Amino acid sequence: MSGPLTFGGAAIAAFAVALATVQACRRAGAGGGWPATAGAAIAVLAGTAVGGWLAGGLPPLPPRVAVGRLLAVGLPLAAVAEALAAVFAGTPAGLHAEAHAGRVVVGGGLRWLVPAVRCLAALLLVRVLLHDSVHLRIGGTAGREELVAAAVLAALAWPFVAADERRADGGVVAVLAAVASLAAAAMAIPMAGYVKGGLVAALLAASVAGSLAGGGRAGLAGFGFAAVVGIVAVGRFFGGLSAVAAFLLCIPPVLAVAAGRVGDSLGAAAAGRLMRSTPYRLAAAIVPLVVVLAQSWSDFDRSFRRMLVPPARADASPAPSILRENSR
Amino acid sequence: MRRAVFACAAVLLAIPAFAADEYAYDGVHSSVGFKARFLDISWIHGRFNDVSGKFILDRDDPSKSSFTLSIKVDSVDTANAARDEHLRQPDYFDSKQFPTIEFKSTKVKGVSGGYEVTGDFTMHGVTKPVTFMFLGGREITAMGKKRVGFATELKLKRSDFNFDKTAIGNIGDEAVITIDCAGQRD
Repeated sequence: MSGPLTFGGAAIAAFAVALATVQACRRAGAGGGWPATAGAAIAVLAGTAVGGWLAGGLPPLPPRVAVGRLLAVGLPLAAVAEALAAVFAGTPAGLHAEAHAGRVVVGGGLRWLVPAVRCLAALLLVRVLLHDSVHLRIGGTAGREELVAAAVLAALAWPFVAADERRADGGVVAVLAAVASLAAAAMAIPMAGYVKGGLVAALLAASVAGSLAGGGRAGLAGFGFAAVVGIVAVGRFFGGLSAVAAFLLCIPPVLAVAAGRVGDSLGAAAAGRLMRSTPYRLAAAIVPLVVVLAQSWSDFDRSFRRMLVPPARADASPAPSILRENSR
Repeated sequence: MRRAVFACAAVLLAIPAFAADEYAYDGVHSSVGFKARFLDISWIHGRFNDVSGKFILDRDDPSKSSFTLSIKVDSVDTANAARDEHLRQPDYFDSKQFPTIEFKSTKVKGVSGGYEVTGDFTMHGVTKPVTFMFLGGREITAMGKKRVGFATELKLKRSDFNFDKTAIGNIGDEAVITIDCAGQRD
């Protein structure tokens, strides 16, 4: 099994590859609009792929397991959705509208399609992840309501989070919240028993952070949130992650965006300024992650850690001697 | 006359059905177990508690016999609940994606003391042909049913079935599967 050093080395490589890729895309002319969005997503996918290859943890092709479908189908689908959303939005994604005043607006009349594309992509993402699993078979699982709820919530939350890109900071806070969620998932999913899922979450966190550090923030709020939803859904529906933990891992980007929106509605009041501030929005995102990590550690300590470290090792008593016991 | 022809045809068509005996897997008196090396110093033993199957034995023409087994992966039991939970997850069996382990014979040959069985073994979404000696097959009548028993042991490599390579390390690649099963019919 991959150890923490392998995780760390692969994550550093993923960060570096994502950063280099997004900068290469920018130098190649993908500085705005859908090319910039595609470039940021490609950087994340490249970073994750290289990190996974270095850690020896890339699932085989064709992808028959959920994490393989996430990397090979789900996230490319999310990238296409974000690129389409950038086309339909007309305004180059990730940059302020006023900065592009005077430019020809492509597809401006199709703005209504922007949230529709993201909603549809969220539903497709969940469907792709569950493909050919017991969850989609008749009588397969009892939690069908949870599956529907997860898909609907993802479909509603994705456009909400992605719209943060229109803020003055270009959606950086939403991206940082997604990175925090992915980093927390990288710890919570292995503690629930699925080590490989944690590796992929760590690589996604590093790659999204690398893309952001390289200046590729176009479409990254939506794409980062899709990555969070994808890996958490894999951890929940295929690993041992609890429903509450999955919800708490997905909600931080939504909370970060919601805090900003509430702050906007409060106008120039002190409370409004506070809620719009980056530290407040990040704090709102991190609180649920602290809760989920504390609960995950408690559950891990109660079950898996005791399997790995038998109680006898914690005792100070000397090891029993068979000869001594037999001579009594 | 026509009625007599139909009657003869019906009897002739019915003959093959009586030539082979069909036994249902007797879950109470059977076990499917496995063991794998731990750190190459000891063995971890486990079993699957939910198994079903069917044996069709044609004693006159063993090549017409067949064996099928279906094992529910979620029923894995290594006497450690936390480990069982880990084994069900995608690092190992991935029971939500691949809920069953299946065996279906494709060729059966009668040998001294039992049958040489070749078939498709499907685990973790990968199907591989395997051949093993299924020893047993003597029918007795007990507790109001006709019963047969078979036993075999076969070795499989988890890496042949696309198990996560990074998870093959502490637990050895090779697993020894032990099948001791009984079949019953009225």
